[in-house]
Amino acid sequence: MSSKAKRIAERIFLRWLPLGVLLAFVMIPLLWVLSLSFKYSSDVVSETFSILPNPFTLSNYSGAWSSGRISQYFCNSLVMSLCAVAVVSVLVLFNGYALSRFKFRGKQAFMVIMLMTQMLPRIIIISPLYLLMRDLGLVDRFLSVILVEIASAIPFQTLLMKGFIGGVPKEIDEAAMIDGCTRMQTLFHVIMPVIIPGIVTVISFAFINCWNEYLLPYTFLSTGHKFPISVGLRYMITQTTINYSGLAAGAVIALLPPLCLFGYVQRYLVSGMSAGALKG
Amino acid sequence: MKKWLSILLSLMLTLSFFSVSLAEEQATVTFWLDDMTDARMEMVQEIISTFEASHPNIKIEFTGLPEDSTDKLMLAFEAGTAPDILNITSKNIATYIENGYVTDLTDLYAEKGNNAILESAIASASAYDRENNRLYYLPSGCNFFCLWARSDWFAEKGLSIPSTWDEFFTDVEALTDKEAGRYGIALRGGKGAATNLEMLMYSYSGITNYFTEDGVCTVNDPKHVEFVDRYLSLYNVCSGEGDINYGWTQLAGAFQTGVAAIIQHTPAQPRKRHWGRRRSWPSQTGRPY
Amino acid sequence: MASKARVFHTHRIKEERVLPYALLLPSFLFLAVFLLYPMGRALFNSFLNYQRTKPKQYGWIGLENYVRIFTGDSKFVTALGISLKWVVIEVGLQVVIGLTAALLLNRKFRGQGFSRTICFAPWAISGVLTGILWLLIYDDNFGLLNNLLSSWGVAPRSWLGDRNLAFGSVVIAELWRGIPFLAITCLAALQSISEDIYEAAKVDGAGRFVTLFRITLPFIRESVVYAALMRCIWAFQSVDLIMTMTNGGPLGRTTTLALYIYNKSIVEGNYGYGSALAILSFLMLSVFTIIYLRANAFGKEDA
Repeated sequence: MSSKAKRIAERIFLRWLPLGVLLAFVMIPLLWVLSLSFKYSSDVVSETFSILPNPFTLSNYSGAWSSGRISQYFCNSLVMSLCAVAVVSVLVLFNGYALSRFKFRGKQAFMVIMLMTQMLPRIIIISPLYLLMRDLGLVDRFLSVILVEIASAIPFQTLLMKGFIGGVPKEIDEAAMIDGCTRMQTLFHVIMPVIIPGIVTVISFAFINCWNEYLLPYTFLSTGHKFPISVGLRYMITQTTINYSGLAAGAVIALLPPLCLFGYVQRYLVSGMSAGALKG
Repeated sequence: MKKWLSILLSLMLTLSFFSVSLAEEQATVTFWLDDMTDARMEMVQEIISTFEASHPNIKIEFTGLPEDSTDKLMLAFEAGTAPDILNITSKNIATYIENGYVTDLTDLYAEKGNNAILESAIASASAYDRENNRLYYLPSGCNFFCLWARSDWFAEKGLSIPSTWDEFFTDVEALTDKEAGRYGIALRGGKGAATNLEMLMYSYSGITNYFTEDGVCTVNDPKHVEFVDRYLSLYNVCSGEGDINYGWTQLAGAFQTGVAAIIQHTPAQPRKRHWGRRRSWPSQTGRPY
Repeated sequence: MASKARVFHTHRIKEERVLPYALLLPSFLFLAVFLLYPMGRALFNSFLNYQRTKPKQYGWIGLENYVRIFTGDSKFVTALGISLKWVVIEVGLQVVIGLTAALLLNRKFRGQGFSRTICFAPWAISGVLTGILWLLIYDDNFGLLNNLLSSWGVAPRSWLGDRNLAFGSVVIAELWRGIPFLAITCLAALQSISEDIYEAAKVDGAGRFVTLFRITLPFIRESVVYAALMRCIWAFQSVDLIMTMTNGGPLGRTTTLALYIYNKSIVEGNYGYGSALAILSFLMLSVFTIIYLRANAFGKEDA
């Protein structure tokens, strides 16, 4: 009896309580955004404060979508993010494989260079980058944004991938190669299925970073209808007013794709893959 | 509203300059405006359509930028991708002229301007070119300083809206009631606060020039020092503690949520009425300096 | 037959030697063109008198910017101190809480998918929006926090205006945003531990905490170490949240080095000086990284 009680107590204190606190901490601001998005903007800043929208309104959402531009910005974001993520995923897979499975000269150097590229604030390199894009003839093109997003994403995602592939025992590789696979075949047919959680993580992070990227599209693009949603939402923040409720609605709209993406792929963050491969 | 009408006017003027010089050729003009909002975008789009309708050979490519885009514009100028028409905030005009980024408009305006803009405005615009006093931009509006006050609170205490600075200071103190969560004033802090303070201080002293005739700067005049001491000593006594970070939005927030009796700032966007609802606002009066 | 095998064999050896370079080449090109080259230009800019407002003074001034930083700039030292405080507190908290979150979200339970997605959400909101959101929570007059507190009878505080509270307030906002990153990374790393190992540990009679510290954590060590390192580097450079919420804060209490660099370069327009500051920041981060990696013994090949 006491051991069962002990287990229940353990469950509560070691799992449900911390989980509850964590979820509360994360959710409260999110719920607040949601509440704001359903309020009239004049009700946000007023003498009477209420947590729940009172009166409730959908005008922020209908206004945002019908003004016509949010949908355009949305598509732009989607295009730029998906392109960048597609390329990053492939390149990073190669990199992770090369760095974790091979011994070669320059391996250390490459890792050092990768880390080095993260250490200078983006602001400082924007100006030379823009001049470079002008020289390449890519001014005001999506491609300029996509290329730099790819370059920015590579270092960290490579490190992640290196860690994931590193977690797969080398015996698997060797077994496959004895069976006659080339290195590349080993990568695609043997290792990749095992590191699905890793690939999922990489895609999620890369997508989010590209989706929320503001500085690059803002600097490189100069045609209104090419801006992504991160820039589009900025229109609601001016020196003189902040349309809080409109912004909240926009934020919720902007939040949906990454959230849906992650909601779908998180089911692949499960263990058991390595075990199967070893046993077989 | 007034500010934007004047922008529209100068816009039409500028565009008409272009139409004159580009009489019959097909031309594309790039046009950037920063610090845009959705509402402003619509207004500008209207002007552009009207203009393009009357000048079929000119096409305008308009881009609205979301915030104060000085750095983006400077970068574009350096790279050679800058637009043909743009707006400049006053703090950057001298920089643009020094860098040679903007064209001399003096002759063009004299020819085609029809004196549409106040002479004094043109004079102060030309003053930005310290060497030759040439006109490099068309002024598009001006702002004036306001004091917003809660007349209902004043009425409660039997006070009238201050009309002298001494009245101001006594009123602010009288209206502060920390227990009830009311402060006499909300001070402008945060980014750009120095401009506010400077305008108020010159209003206090009545000095109208930055330099005396001997070329001595008037900023440190004893009257100014006196004002700054008096005004800033209100912080955290007759005003809230958070004021040190308050931009315009927080200032307005303090006023609207019934925390501050007085705020002083240039009037920003007029209140937008949302569809189909009526609200009664606490009574407010504004009084220009 | 033998010759075919030998051809295959030499092909194999060539593959071994060439393949890694071939695999890394495209990434290297990307990095070199879009990151290393601009960094080189930034280095070059740091030796110039390059100010937006004084175009006529443009020219080479050698180390003058650097000398000014070390001799005349007290704000640099303050900003550096605040940056260090910021990074240590932020990353420390995020690692601990992120790891805890990952462990909690690793077990199967009802609502696991939902919980994971929710925990991911703060990362999915862009920096500026997060800043505005927390502004709306912390605002003295119409913010959520103060209104809740006063309705419970607790005196409201100025969370972003009070010089002693501002730093902590911003830390919490950044923490909210940063937890998902560590949580998801650790969660993914935890997936590589197969169930067998846990079973074996249980059979051996290992308790919950022993399993945690002796088995689970060492397994995911590499991922956590790298994730923490990247987080440190990013935290050192992050400006968006601080800029939106306090813009350097009451009396510069929240001005990190990154924000200081931003102010010098973009706001004041002194690109040369800003670049010099950035290069110094770069050097400091490099030294830190070297020490960090050495301390975690990742200089050599893993066993």
